[in-house]
Amino acid sequence: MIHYKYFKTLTVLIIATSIQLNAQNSAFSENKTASFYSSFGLGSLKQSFSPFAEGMGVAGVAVDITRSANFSNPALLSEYSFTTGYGAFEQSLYMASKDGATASYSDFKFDGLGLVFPIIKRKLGVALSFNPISTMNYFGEQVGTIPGDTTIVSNNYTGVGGLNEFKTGIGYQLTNHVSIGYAPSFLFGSIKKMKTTLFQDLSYRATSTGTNDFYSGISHEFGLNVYKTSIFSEYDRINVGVSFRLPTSIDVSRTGENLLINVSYEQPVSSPLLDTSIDMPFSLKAGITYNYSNNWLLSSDVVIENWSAFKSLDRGSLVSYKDRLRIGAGVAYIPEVRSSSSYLSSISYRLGGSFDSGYFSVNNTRITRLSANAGISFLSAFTASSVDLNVEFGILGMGQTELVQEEFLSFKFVINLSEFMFFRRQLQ
Amino acid sequence: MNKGFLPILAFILLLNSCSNDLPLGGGDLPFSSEIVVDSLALAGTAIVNYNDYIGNMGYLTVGQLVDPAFGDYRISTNFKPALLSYSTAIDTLTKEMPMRLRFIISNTFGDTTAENQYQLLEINELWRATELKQSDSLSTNPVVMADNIIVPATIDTFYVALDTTFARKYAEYYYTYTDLDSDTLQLRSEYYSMNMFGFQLKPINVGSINMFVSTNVNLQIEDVENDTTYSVSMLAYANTISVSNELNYNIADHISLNSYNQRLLKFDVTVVNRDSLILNGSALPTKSLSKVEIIFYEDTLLIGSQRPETFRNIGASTLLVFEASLDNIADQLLLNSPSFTASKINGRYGINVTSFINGFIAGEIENDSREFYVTVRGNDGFFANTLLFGEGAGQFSPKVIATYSRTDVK
Repeated sequence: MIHYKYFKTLTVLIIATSIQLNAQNSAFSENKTASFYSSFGLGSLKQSFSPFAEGMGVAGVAVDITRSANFSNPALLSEYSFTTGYGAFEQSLYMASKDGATASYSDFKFDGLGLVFPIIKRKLGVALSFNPISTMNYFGEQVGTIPGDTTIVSNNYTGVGGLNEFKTGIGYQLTNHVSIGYAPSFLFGSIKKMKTTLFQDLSYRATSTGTNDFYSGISHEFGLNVYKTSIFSEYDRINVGVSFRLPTSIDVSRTGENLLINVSYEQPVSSPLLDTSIDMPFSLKAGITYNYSNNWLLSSDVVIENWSAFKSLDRGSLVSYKDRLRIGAGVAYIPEVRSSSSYLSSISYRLGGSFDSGYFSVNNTRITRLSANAGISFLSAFTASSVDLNVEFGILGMGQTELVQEEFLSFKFVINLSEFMFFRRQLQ
Repeated sequence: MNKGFLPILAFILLLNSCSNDLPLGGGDLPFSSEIVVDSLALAGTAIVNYNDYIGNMGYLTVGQLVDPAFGDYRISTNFKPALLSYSTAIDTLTKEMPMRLRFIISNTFGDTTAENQYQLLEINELWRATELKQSDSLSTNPVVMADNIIVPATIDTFYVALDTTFARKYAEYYYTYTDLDSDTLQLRSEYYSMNMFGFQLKPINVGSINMFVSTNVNLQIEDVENDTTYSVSMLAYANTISVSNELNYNIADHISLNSYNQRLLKFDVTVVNRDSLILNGSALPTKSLSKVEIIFYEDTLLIGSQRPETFRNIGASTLLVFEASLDNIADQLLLNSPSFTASKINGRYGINVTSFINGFIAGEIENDSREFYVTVRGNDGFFANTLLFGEGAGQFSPKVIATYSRTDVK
């Protein structure tokens, strides 16, 4: 049965989402854009596949909080007692600076959804999720002149799209202390990069040309979660989680995009350019979480990906790909919520931070990402559902002198629904 | 809990109000910003000899001159005044009324200090202006109606008196039909057209070429008794030209064109497919073309060195380009607007064909080829000429300049 409070919550968030989407749609001309650095490689990588863990700054490979669906480690899918799902969207503000100039811009995006179905309570679970794993959304302008002429030329660069994954997964508890999981996923998406050239002299026609890459492929991820209780006290538990996504080759089909712009018409022309494949790197995630009394969590994890083996379709000399290392650590407090709990005592708090080396360098300079994370969850006293708000403040390209340095502030809104409108469990 | 979402909602609204500046770092994006300007030779241009229609084009032109850069031109103008509109109010048109032709000079080609002398002759054959071509000639009565019409360089209007023989004949045409119903008016008009052949004004000395806007050439009928002058416009007119002692330039060096379209310059564009575009033998890029310009240069120095300082040629300021074939070139020149127009700036004609090229590429047809014919000014009766550099002229040879932006990755 839908609880009245959640109906209200859902209504408020739908209104908020609508406002955001309307604003986004009406603001193309206002340069709604994400990070400048999303123009490199496959775009900006998703930091965590667990909305709860993201508020702690960690990937979530060892975070087994089942109030929120976690797709960072398929072994954790065995831990769920209730059917659990989430949907998330994110609003980011960027404040960029370079050579004394500053600019701010913003980006709004859907940030994934997922469902976990416990087949056997805390023993066997399966999952479905859809998540963007990389996002490209940039706009840039460069002004120059035509060679041998004084005509001013404005090149506008845009890139949109990214890679997504449609993931299924299964987690199984082998013993009281060990769970394993497997999650195959279908990778797909498109990345469209366009360059529009405008001229001050109207005898020149504006041109818009670029590429559109369509990606598709299969990847496989394996997970392990080991935990032990009563380490330092009667009420504590330690989780150690590891997941490994195999390197995989995905198909890429590139078309050339050319918008023929004349006075009286604009005609898009697409022509196939190439069909090939690219190698996606492996991804190794490992982490540890200390859980005290189901109220306090301390967690830390690392992500290692061998992007140095990645070969982009766009092979220039400016960008080179490097192995990625991401380290995160954080703490969470989860209150016990009863029907008599006050409003403030029903809120869970999270705090943490992360460092990401990034997966490429520009002009031999690594583009790092340093962030501080925080999150609060509004917990329900009647179900395991909750609403999360994560906040992240960070710096991209810290210490850059030649390129842009971006400070960003992101707000992620997540609805976690548990035991809510889903199928009755057939096996207990 | 719902109280807690009001601040969230307010916060989202606040985020939406955030300004969005132009992002920084556009120049650091990993994409080329280079604009390429390719200059390709326009090879294989051809000259097509042509004999254009010249009737009722806008200007009446007469004169004879020696143009040291081109040859000797002789242009006569043939014209037929309209019949004064019949009106019962005009019952005093008599066979004795003085009649004269008035010519207001609008422009002169050639030596602006030269004195011109003309003869007025009566044409003695039926002709239609729209059927005459510029090399045609009309038969005239050997009896000169007005001789030694002297037009000094200093005047802008001259008159040619018509004798009483013509005045009587004209009055007879006027009174042939006196009813005002439309059928009768039509009969009156046709009768006049079939029997009145008009005049030819031709040069009899070497001087310059005078040009008159057609509305500035009139038959004037003076009603002395009532102190009134009736002014009648031209019903038909056509200029005929002959050229002698013509300088025959090698097309590799020079391309000689004049506004009477005795020659047309031809080039063609072929799209093999969307990725292959050929403009007169030169392969052009087909992507992100911002400008495709065909350039011709006038040999201003050669022309200037051979002509006296007082020589005037103000009409050759534009090149017109018609998409046509040899089968329909006449219709295209007469009835349609040019596909492109290029104005001369510092001796350079730049024909911007970008729209056509982009549209042509966008078409689904493969192996499609189009012919283009270039004229000077367009044949409106106004005389002008130009001498363009040919393919062997080095930096001044005809060329195609294609401007496009590169799409490389840095």
